[in-house]
Amino acid sequence: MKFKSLKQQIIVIFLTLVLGIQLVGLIPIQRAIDKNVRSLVTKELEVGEKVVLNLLGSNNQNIINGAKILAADYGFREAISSHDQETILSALTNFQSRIRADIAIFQGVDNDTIAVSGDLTEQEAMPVVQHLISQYSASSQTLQFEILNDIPYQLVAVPIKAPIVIGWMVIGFEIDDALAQKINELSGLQVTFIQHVQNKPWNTKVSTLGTDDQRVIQNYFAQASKEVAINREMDVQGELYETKFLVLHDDAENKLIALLQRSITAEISQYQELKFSLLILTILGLGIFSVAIIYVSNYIAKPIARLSENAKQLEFGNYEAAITSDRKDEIGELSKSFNAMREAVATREEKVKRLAFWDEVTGLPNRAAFIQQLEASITSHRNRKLSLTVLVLNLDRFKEVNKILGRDMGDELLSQVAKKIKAEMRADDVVARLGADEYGILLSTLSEDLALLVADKLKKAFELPFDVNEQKIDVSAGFGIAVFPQHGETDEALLHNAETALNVSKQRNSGVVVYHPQFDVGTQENLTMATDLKSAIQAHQLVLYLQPKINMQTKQGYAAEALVRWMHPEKGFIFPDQFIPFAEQTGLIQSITLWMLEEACRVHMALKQEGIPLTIAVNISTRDLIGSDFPEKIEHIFRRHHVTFDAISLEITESSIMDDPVRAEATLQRLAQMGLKIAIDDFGTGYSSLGYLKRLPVQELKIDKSFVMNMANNENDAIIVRSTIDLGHNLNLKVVAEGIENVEAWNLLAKMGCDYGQGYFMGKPMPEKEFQAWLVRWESQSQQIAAETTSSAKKATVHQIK
Amino acid sequence: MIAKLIKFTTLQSLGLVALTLSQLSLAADVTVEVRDSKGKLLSDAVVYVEGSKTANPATNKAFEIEQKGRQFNPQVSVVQAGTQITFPNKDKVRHHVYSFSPAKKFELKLYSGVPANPVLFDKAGTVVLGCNIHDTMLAYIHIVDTPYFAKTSASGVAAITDLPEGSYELKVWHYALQTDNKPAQQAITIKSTNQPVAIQLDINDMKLM
Ligand SMILES: [Cu+2]
Repeated sequence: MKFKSLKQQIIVIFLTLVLGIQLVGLIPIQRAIDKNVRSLVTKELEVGEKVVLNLLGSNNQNIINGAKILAADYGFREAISSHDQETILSALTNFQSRIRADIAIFQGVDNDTIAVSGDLTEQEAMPVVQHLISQYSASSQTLQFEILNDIPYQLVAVPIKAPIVIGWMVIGFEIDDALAQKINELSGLQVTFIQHVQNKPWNTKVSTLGTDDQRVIQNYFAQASKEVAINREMDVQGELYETKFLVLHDDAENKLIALLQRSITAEISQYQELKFSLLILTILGLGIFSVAIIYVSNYIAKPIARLSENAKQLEFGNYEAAITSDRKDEIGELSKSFNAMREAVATREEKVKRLAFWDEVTGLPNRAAFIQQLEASITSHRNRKLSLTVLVLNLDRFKEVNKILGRDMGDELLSQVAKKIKAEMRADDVVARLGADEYGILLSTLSEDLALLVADKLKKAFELPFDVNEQKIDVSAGFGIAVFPQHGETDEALLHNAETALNVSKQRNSGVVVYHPQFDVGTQENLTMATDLKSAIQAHQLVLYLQPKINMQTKQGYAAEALVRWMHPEKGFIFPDQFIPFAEQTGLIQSITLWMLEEACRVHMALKQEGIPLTIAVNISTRDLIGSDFPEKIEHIFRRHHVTFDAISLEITESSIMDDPVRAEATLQRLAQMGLKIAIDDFGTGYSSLGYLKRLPVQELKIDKSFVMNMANNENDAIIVRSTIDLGHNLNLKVVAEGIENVEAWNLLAKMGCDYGQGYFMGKPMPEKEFQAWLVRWESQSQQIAAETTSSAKKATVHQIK
Repeated sequence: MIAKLIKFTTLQSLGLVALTLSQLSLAADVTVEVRDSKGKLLSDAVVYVEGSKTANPATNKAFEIEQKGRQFNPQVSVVQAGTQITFPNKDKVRHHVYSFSPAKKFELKLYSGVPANPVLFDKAGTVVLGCNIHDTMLAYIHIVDTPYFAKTSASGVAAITDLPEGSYELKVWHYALQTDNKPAQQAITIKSTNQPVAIQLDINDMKLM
């Protein structure tokens, strides 16, 4: 058998046990009752037998005592001695009636005199008297029974002495119902006298039993023939009797037996009541026990069942159901432990959930959460045919912040950035931290135009420095935008494309960039572009442009930065920010750099022959710096073109150095040893340490155009520019300012002592062929600058005072 | 009691003297030894001889059976018919001596001391004496028609003396005799000197009853 619940098990086990014990207990009780009754009945019979024998014995004694009185009577003896028959008989009759005997007989010793009083002839009396006389003993009186004329008698013989025995007197009492009744009263036994005379059947003359019962006993004796056991159980009409046989008389012809009986059935029936109450008690006990055991099993099993139910709830992720138990026992303890476990599991899951979907540093949702949200938003926006924008932004040079200021400050900065973004966004826009220093913003319902506005607003917000542990930190960021559905229809595509746009923004240093399919390496268009770009180098589709780099003190324009343009046969003129990031991603940049160096050498030599000693700066990328054979390649190119190492200089962005500072430094050292001049491009946007800069074999710093262009409006930028110039000079470096767009900027920078300047104010990037013409124009133009400088210098002064 | 015995002996001697005087030359003695059926010597057996020559009635002979300690004494007596017996009561209690025997029926109603008249036993036979007060009191008197009688002593021997020579019937009686209490008898010839006679009686059980 199998039971589903603990409760059932407890109930069944205990009830079975109790029932078993009760049943096992009943068997010996039943046996004990049986044994008890039988031994009791046997004892009662033994006692009864003694009572009967005593009664008969005292009867005997009474008769003897009575007889002795007559036997001692002088007159009676005189009558006997004188053979006075009549007197003798009358005395006997008188005596018989006096003691209520049934028989009185006198017989003389000489056998010549016999007198019988009672229902008996002398002939019938003679043998009985002879028998009794022969059995007589003065010292011990044996009970004598005889059957005379079918009637059982108890008989007593008494000698008559004068003084020697002169005769015998025999007194007889009939065994009748009165005697049986008396026996029954005294002993409590049923008594039956059964006799067997000559060939007549067994006959019950006297009995306390009913006639039907007597007939059963007669039959019993008839069947038992002559075999009469001493004791046995007799079944008399369904009533079981323990029976004792008392043989009163037994000779060849006559038998007289007294049956003493005690009913076992009656005795047991007394116990029946006991057994019944025992049964009632058992049932009652079982009932009470059942209730108790059900209560106990409930008490034990219910909380366990509840725990089990709660455990199931836990399985389904429901941690709400608390278990309250004020019990002090093990189950209470278990409940408490279970509760603690439930809370611990809930807390842990909460944490896991948070870790899975929340970023601990910023408190923003993480990438997974962002993607989930994006997926949901795409579905709902698609249904409503609305656009939605993913804006990702990435902090510039965050790695440097971490390195210089430590991780704690870095984390704090990340947190501040998160706060700033949140502050600028609408409440329902989702802001998340997507990676190390990358944030994602989900702008629902916004089209590309509106998204651009939001991005600009955010970009403006980044112009203010962040307050990190009482330190002001300037952090700029790149922004990438991808709009649903045009830039991608899945969350994956949309986010990927936004990040692609972000990468482009970073490479171009151009703030906010909206995704364009061209950015994507994986697309068919880009594959075409890659093929195109490769062939573009051989097909001479790339064109070198030169932007003049003016010595601000001498105003001479004998230096320039080499820039690349792509004249695509089908697409036409392509700006570098449209293919350089792509080239950097694909590695094509190395080929482009080599082409540039080759082209710069050629241009230098060409101009040299025209009498123009132009120093050309070529930008090199991270990949170039990492490539270990880069210096050899340069050397090879220079030698081929017979160009001296001072004719060409190299420009490296601060961030490209920081990608792998050790290898970058090694490569730069080799290049410097070769005699190449090296400039740090976009200085101020990265976080390279001064110590590190000092170690580098660098001759120039180029201040990023973003500072220079804002210098007039933003005092901070002006301070940065000035301090950068001072710093550069202190390090014995030349300083180059980019983005000079007007004369005021020129004058200010000139005043600050800036060494070189670049910008539209002096000259835009131009093909090699136009450079000579420009140079001529510049020389005349530069003459006017001096005059303008004075006035603009004044303006600048005023500006500064403000 | 010894004095009485002496007295009795003296009386007898007197008779014997008379007898001796008349038939002096013919007188002889005989001893009889009595045993029961098992060969045991019997006391209190009455031994006597009867013959034609012995028919001389005894007159005014006296005898005494006293009651003392609720017993008759002697318990067995033998007397010649015509003997007067007195029953002196030596106890403090009274006795009621009676006999229902055919040889002599009498009763001496409750008395103490010596009754006024002795009782005459004039018929041969056995008289059983009893006391109506005390059932245990019992005595036998055997009355014979001859002067030649004796009673066995504790050693079971009785001697009859001064018996004239001649033929007689020797009779032996004992109260415990079985067959109707009749005496055993046997012919005997008395000479001048006689061998002791041995008699065995049909007695199995020595009971006074
Ligand atoms: Cu007496």
